[in-house]
Amino acid sequence: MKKKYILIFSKLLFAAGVFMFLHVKSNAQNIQETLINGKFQKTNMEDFFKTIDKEYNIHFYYKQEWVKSRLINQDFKNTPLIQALNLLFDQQSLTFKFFQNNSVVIYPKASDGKTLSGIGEPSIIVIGDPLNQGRYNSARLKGKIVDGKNNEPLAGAVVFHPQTGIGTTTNAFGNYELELPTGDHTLQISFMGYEILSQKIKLIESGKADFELFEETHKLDEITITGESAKASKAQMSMVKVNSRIIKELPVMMGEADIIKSVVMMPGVQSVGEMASGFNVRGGNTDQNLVLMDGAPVFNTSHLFGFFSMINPDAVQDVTLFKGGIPASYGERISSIMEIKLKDGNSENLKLYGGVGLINSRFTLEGPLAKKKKSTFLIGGRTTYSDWIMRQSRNAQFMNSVAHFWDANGTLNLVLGQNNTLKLMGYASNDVFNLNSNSLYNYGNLIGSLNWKAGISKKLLSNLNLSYSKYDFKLEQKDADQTENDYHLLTGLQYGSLKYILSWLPNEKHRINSGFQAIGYKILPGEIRPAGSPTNVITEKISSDQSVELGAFIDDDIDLSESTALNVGLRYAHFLNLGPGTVMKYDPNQTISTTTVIDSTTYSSGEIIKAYKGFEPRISLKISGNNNSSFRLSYQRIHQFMNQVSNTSVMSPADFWKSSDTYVKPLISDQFAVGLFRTPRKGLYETSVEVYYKNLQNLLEYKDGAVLVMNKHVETDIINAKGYSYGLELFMKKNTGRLNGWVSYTYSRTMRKTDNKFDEDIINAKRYYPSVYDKPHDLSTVLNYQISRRWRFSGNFVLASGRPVTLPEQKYVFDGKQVVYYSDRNKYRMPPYHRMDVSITLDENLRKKRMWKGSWTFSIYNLYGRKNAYSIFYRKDASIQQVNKTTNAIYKLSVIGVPVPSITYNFKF
Amino acid sequence: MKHKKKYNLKTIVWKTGQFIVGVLLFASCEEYYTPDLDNAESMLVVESMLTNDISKNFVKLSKTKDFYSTDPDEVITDAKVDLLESGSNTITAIQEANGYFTFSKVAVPGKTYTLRIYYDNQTYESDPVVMPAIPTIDSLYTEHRIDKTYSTDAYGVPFEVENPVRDVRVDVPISAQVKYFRFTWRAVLEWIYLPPMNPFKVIPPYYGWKSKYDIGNFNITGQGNYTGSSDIKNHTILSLSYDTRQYLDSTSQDFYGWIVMIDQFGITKDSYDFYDAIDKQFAADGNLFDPILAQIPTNLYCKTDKTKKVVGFFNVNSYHEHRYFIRTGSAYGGEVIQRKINRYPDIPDNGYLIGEYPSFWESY
Repeated sequence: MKKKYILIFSKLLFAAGVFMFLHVKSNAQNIQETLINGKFQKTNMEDFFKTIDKEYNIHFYYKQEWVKSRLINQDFKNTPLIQALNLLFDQQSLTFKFFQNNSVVIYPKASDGKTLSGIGEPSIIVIGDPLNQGRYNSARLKGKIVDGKNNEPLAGAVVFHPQTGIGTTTNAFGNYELELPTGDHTLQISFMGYEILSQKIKLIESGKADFELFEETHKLDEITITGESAKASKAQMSMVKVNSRIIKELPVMMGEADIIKSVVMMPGVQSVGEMASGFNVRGGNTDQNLVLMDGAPVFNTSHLFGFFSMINPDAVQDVTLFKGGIPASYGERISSIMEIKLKDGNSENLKLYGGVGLINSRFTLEGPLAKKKKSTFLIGGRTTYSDWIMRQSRNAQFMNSVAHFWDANGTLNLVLGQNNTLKLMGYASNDVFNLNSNSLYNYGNLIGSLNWKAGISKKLLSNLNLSYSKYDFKLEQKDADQTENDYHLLTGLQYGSLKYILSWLPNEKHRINSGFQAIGYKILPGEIRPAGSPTNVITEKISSDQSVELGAFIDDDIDLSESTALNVGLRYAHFLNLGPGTVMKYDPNQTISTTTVIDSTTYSSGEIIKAYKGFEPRISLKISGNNNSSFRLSYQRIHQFMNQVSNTSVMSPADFWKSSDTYVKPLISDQFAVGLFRTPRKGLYETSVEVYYKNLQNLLEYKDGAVLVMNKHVETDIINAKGYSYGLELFMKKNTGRLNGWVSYTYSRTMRKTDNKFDEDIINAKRYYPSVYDKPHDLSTVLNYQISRRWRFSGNFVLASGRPVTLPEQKYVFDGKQVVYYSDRNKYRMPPYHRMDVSITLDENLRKKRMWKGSWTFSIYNLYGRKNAYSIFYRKDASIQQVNKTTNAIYKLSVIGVPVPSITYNFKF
Repeated sequence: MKHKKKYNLKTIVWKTGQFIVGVLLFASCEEYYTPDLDNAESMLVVESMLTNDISKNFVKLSKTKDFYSTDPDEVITDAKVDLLESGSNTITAIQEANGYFTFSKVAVPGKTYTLRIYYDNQTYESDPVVMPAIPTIDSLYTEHRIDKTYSTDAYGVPFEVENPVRDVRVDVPISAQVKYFRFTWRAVLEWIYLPPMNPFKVIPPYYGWKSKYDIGNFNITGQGNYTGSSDIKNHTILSLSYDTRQYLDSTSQDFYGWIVMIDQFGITKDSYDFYDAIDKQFAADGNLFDPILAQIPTNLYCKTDKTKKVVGFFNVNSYHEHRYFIRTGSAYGGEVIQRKINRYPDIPDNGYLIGEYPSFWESY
């Protein structure tokens, strides 16, 4: 154990020192040749260093505990320093490095086949018996690459030999294998988000070498990771990856790290504003994002009407968001795929960590299932005590309100063999709230998944995913005066999926993925039940909606040349809307409405009501240039057969899902994107420019005054629309240094058009109009500053165009009351949105071996109290009597118009 | 001696938690917003009602104006208005005042009516509307209730205000011919003033009255969502405060009783949706999950030019007036009186008589 700490410390030390050492290597000769003199019999090694420091102004850097018990017995007379140190450390477990022109770093020697990680040139690993040197021309090197922190295998890590261009990637179990000429080599081992390891090896004969990589975040001054993921193709673009550390560093409301709010800071990703659940990618609706948690979809991604994401941030390993160039193995939604990978659990130690906030708390426990076993578990949960706080208040408005949530998650990672793992995941959540009203909202998710990864052979990998997701919503409508009319409204859906991917790696230039997916949906669009007895309420249920979505896919990740990578894929989507059900036939000469029904057809259980099918080509190309730059382009087509039906600006938990059917056609999106990417100054900076264009077919719009809840013929209130989106995304990030962060700017437009035959189905006279998510300008800035080893400051600033809004343009009097006539839909725009948040964190003490480690985060959301518009509306008068309020006016509502401070205590045990 | 207020960590955390919950849930703030708005072409506004009571049949024509306009309403005088009754002749309306038209005929339940307007070389027409059956009330009663409203203090912190009131409620039967209703009301407060005693002269009492009108949103009701009930129960028409001083002009006036005049209209589903849309427009608060703003529906359109827009509604309502005498008692008890009045004399807005009861006066 002690050795492990030593190793980690040495890595940190190395990371701090070797960079400078490399830059002064050419000048290091002077210090090495410094002639030293002195008698050092029975002298403590530390005293020796101090003497040299004093007399020759040569500084030594070391950890005191390494040298405190070491004595030396050596005299020097005009001895070069390098020779002296060689004598001293020859039989020691320590070694040394020179850096700058006046310093020496002392650190432990590697004692086994594993390497010291970090930047630099650790010791050479000898593979094979030295007696066999020269016997073979080439040899096969294989081994495993693991996360040095928890020994978890890293799938997709790259092992590369720059001299020959030979390289390979690790399989799902972190194993690699490649053939190299025998001799001395320097291998580069890399994995996204981890320090690149340059390792010298002496390859004598075929053998094994395992490597450990460490997250970049282990370094104090590094914060973030974006780039290519394990599953991403080399040609992948339009992808955002955020790891758990960056999620936690962003200042957020309530001090609670938030996945979605972190992603929203990236280019091309926007949010409607406060109190908005979900996110919008490249102008798409919230329901056009597929959020997968270990492969299982999440149908409601927020707690407490959008203030919290539904996932415990402590349980998250990383989040990958595909905005474009979506791999063929993914379908279902047209805007984006967000893949949330939950942690497997720590394989070494049992760990407890969590946080205590002012209105909610969370905990996570992870560890190995048994000693010396690789199988691990993780369980976690969150809950809020806002209800209890409100009940203590004397304010009746608070006392009459309810707002609480809880969630629980767990993973079980079973290692069945060297190349065989099974991961089980479970998640449950529940939200309840009402805001001083008669309507109590109650909703929750129940999610589970099974992921079985197995290596069939060296070149064949099998990946099976079974997932289940259930979302239930209940509205409890109560009226104290008319209890006999109280009712419950229920909506929900169930989702089950089987997905199988077979990966074939015929050679280093190809990685072929093929597979299939079968999804079953069962939607409950609405059901009314009496809330008590006696009752006037009649139980009423809209027939459930059953459907099956089938997909088959294949893609090939091809290295065309050293500088060109191509990913070509094809997905076939087949959708079946199934009975039982009754489909109305409407008069083709009139708009669809309940009064234009001319016939109906009834379908029995399992009978196909409507089928849709289509091919979805995917292609991504990357051409690398000089100076760490690359040009990339991609095209994708995706069908979406499920829509969330909503005529509100902000998605509500009550909004139900609707599958494609006879009248609701599948959404089809074609997206083209091109981009230029650069990582200047050896990755210190990361820059990108992306341009995209999306063509959208069969979008859902709604007729004026549409009533969607409990509508047996919802198609009568739906209008078919088409649209397009385009945008320019700029991104610049500084990855390292005490001051780091990023700036992203997006210019984008999202337009809609109804081009239908009947007047009732036309919006804005068939002209293009902006969608409610059209926010042309969006600037996000994130800044982190490591004030000291323990104090850290973070701040972010967002500036975005206001979203489109419909405003009253004319007025008239009816029955003595002033009524307004609204403008064309989304003709006007809200004031610009801007906000600054800051936080300061006192991190745990890294040096002390404490069992209990804690950190404090103090944050202020909306630092300068900007009253950003949540909604603009017209009304007769205010519900709360206030001075200077008059009737009949346009009002602007700000949800968070004040700075909101919070403090959170996070702990580890 | 001054006591220092002690704040420990627990108190600070506690208060901060409450503040944050408050911010999360209620600290939203509203302010006026005056965006630049385009000037738009004005549209024809049709406000019309046709009932079985000739005094309530009219058509008012005017034009819309820009949202910020402070000009008086522009009435339309050069229009011709016709009423088409199914199976009968066309009746042309008479313009009694600028833009105000009346019909010389009452509508009949069960018959279908269409409104046609000729204006500015265009023809506007309504959808045909079937007049509902005459509505009735099963029973009227009163209920004690604490009316809770919220006000804010100087710091913007909301606090609750309680006002005990007596609700006047009705149960309304539903039939296949009339399922939706609209109510308007007028409450006439009867008061008595007894002058100071004068040993030399008999000074008679004053019998006065004062009207309180319905200025709220449209009071509509109908068969409840998802219910199969054959009547509507507990529908509140108005609320009368026990504290009648707030309605009287002088502390020397003594409350005597209320004459509550209720106009009940049987309306169509389309009319219900029209009034409901206006109520929703007035009651919008921009809150969570509000629907996207929608235009108020209309059952009128321009026959000759589809691009011409028209706003308003042609209401064909059945009508029934109800009168009740009510004494509310007090918030702490007292006798509550309510009885039906079976006569319908006109009552001026306010006034008094000395030494004699007005002809409409009701006693308990």
